Amino acid sequence: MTENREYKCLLISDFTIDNLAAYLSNTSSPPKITSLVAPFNQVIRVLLDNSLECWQQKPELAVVWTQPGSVIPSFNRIINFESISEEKILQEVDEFSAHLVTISNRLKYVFIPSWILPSYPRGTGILDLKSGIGIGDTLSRMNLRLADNLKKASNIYLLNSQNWMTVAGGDAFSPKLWYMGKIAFGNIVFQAAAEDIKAALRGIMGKARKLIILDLDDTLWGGIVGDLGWEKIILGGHDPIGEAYLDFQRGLKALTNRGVLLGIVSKNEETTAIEAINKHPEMFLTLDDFAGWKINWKDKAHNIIDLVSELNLGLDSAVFIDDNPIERDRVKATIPGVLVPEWPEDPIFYKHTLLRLSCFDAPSISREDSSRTKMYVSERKRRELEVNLGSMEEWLRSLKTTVKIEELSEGNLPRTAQLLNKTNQMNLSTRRMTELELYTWAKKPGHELWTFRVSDKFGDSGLTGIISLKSEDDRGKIVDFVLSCRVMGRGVEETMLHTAINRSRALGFKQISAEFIPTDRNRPCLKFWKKSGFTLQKDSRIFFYNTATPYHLPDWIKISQT
Amino acid sequence: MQKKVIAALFRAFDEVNPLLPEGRKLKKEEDTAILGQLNSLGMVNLIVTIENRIKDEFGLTISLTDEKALLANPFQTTSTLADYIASFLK
Repeated sequence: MTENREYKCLLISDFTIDNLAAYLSNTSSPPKITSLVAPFNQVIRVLLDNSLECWQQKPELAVVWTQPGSVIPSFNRIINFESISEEKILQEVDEFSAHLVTISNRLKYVFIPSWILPSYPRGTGILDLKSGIGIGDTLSRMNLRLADNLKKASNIYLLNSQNWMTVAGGDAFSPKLWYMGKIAFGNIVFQAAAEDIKAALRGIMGKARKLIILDLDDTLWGGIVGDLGWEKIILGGHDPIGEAYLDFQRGLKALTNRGVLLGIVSKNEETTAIEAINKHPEMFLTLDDFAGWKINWKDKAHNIIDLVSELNLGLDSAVFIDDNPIERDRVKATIPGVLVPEWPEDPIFYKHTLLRLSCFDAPSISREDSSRTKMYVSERKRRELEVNLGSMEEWLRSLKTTVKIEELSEGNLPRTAQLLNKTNQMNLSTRRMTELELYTWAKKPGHELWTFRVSDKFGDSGLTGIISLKSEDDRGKIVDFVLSCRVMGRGVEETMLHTAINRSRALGFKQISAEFIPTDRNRPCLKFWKKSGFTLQKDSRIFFYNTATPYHLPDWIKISQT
Repeated sequence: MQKKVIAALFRAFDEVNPLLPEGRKLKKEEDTAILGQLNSLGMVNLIVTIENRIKDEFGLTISLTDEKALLANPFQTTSTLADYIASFLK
C-alpha cells in the first residue's frame, strides 16, 4: 500500500452513513479514501445485486454497517419481548453472513462493525443477559455467530463498534439525529470508526508501527536521573505519579507481547541511565525489553535514524514518545516518517494515551511471517532512504528562542537557589548554598550573578540558567555556570558565556577564567567547556578566554535584558 | 452575550466543517449565510451540534427545530442565529 494511493470504499448501510463517508474521505491520515454511499436502507439488495450503479464504480473496500433489527428481522421479536427461538435468529445471521462472504469475493477488504443497540434504553435489567430471552444475550450470540461464520473469509474484518460507543459516551446516540436524518450515531462514533477503519487498512497492508522509541527522564520515569540519581527518580511506590509511570511501563510491556519493539533515545549519560534501569527496584521494564538504545547528548533525530537503521527497520515503523514538546517538534520536522504523537503533560495520562494509539493495529498473522516480510522490505527501503534532516541551526532558528537576563534579586532568589542546588549535569562547580548564602555572596563587592530565563515558540522554560562572576585582581572568574538540562544544546550555554565575557570586558578584565570542578555527574559540563572556545590550561581544569576577542552569540538567540 | 454565542457557533462550525465538501464549509464570520449553504443533512448536523454546544457552554437546552424557531427563521446568518439563541439567555 502506498500512502498516496486512493482507495474507493463503498458504504452499505440501513441508516444515513454519509457522515462516516465524509470522515473517511476528509481525514488526513493515510490511506486516502474516496467514499461511495450505496442506496439508503437497501442492504440486502445491494449485497445481492452487483449490477447496481454503486458496484459499477468498482470499489475495492466495503463497510457494511447495519442495525441488527433491519438485517435480522427475528431480532425485532426479541426487542418486542415476543417468543422466538434462538435457532431462528442464528439462522438469519447465517444467511446474512453468506451474503457478506459473497460480496467479499469481489472486494479486497470488507469491514463489518459489530451490531449494537442504542445505549439510551436501559435494556431489560436482570433479564438482559438471560439466555434465550435477554436482548443483550441475544445480541452477543448474534455477534459471536457472525464472527464464527466470517472467520474463514480472510478479507472480512469484524470491528468492535462498542469501543466507538465508549469513546463517544453520552454522545454516541442522538434521537434528534435519528428522527431528523436517520443518522444512527453521533459524529464522535463516526470519527472513531473512520480512524479504526484506516488503522485496520494500514495494519492489513503491513503498515502497523513496530517500534516505540522512548525518552527516559519524565517519560519512562519522573525526574532527571542525571540530577537526582536513580534512587530518587519517581517510579512506582505509594504515589499516584509514581504508579502512573509504572503503569505506563506495564502498558509498554504488553505491547512488546504483541510484537512491538521498544527502543530508547535519551539525552543522558549512558552509564547513569542504564544504572537506573538495572537498579531501580520498581522498574517494570528491563534492559532485555529494549531492542536497542542511543543514550548520549547528540541530536535525537540523528539518534533515531541510527537506532532504526541498526534495528533493520524503516523510519515509518517507528513511534517516538517524549515528554518534551521541543524534542517532539525537532523529530516531527526532520523525520516525517516517524509518528510523533502529542503527549500529555501529566504522567497520569501516559498509559491512557499509549493505549489510544491505533498505529499498532495489525491483523492476526504469525510474528514469523510478519518479521520475514518486514526485514526484506526494510532492507530495501534503507538502501533507497535519503534523509534530509535540514541543518540543526535551521531548526534552532525556527524555535525563536529568547533569553531574558536578570541580575539576582529577591524576586528570583528562591528559584535561583533551587536551580543551583539541584542541577548536576551542566554545573561547573556544583556549589550548594542556601538562599541567604547565595544572596549574600552575590551582593559582595566584586561579585555578580545573572540568571537566564529561556522561552521559545512552545512556551516559557522559566529560569533555567545561572552564571556568576567574581573579580580576582585584574581578571574575572566564572564561579557558577549552571544550566537545566531542559534547555541544553540550544545555544543558551553560548549566550551565557557571551554575557559573562561582555560584562568582564565592561569591567575592564582582560581575561576571564573558569575552573571546572569534577563530580560524578557533571561530565556533560566538561564536554561543553572543552568545545566552548575557551582554552584549557595545561595540566589543570582551568579554562581561559581573552576578552578582547568577542564571543560569538548564536544568531538564533534573541536577548532581552532587564 | 451575543459575542459569546457567536464564539460558540464558530466552535460548532469547526465540528461540522469536516463533514462538508470543499466550497460548502461554513466560514467563521458573522455574516456567513447558513441557509442555502448546507443541504438537509448538513443542516441536521449543524442543528444538533449547535444545540449540544449551547447546552454544554451555557447550560441551556434549546430546540432550533420547534415551532418558535421555525417562525423566527434564525438561520439567515451567523449573526441572526446568535441573536435568536441569545434571546433565551437574557
